[in-house]
Amino acid sequence: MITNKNFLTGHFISQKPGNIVSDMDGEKVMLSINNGKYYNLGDIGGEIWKLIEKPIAIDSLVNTLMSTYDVDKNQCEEHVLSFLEMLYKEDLIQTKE
Amino acid sequence: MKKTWSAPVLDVLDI
Repeated sequence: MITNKNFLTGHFISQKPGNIVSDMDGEKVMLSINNGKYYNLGDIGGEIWKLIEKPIAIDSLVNTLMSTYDVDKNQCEEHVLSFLEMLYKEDLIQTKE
Repeated sequence: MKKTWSAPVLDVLDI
């Protein structure tokens, strides 16, 4: 169950189309065709970006990350929601209830 | 063995 509440909680998240992603030294760098900006997603951000290729519930996203990384649920959830909020503000993801 | 976690950050590059 999600304990950190934010507006994305309970939504399915997925990438918005219109981004070109490239790997640079293990980090994902992305160009948004829609706004002309370049982004560095970093290592874990790139992993999250890959996981939201198709719509995924935040709970599932957090559980998948917890199976790969040494992090407790509460902290993982908090960090993931904060990261997704940044993506949302840049109009890089779409949400579905 | 699990990988080390660090908070993901979206870095907007100034290009």
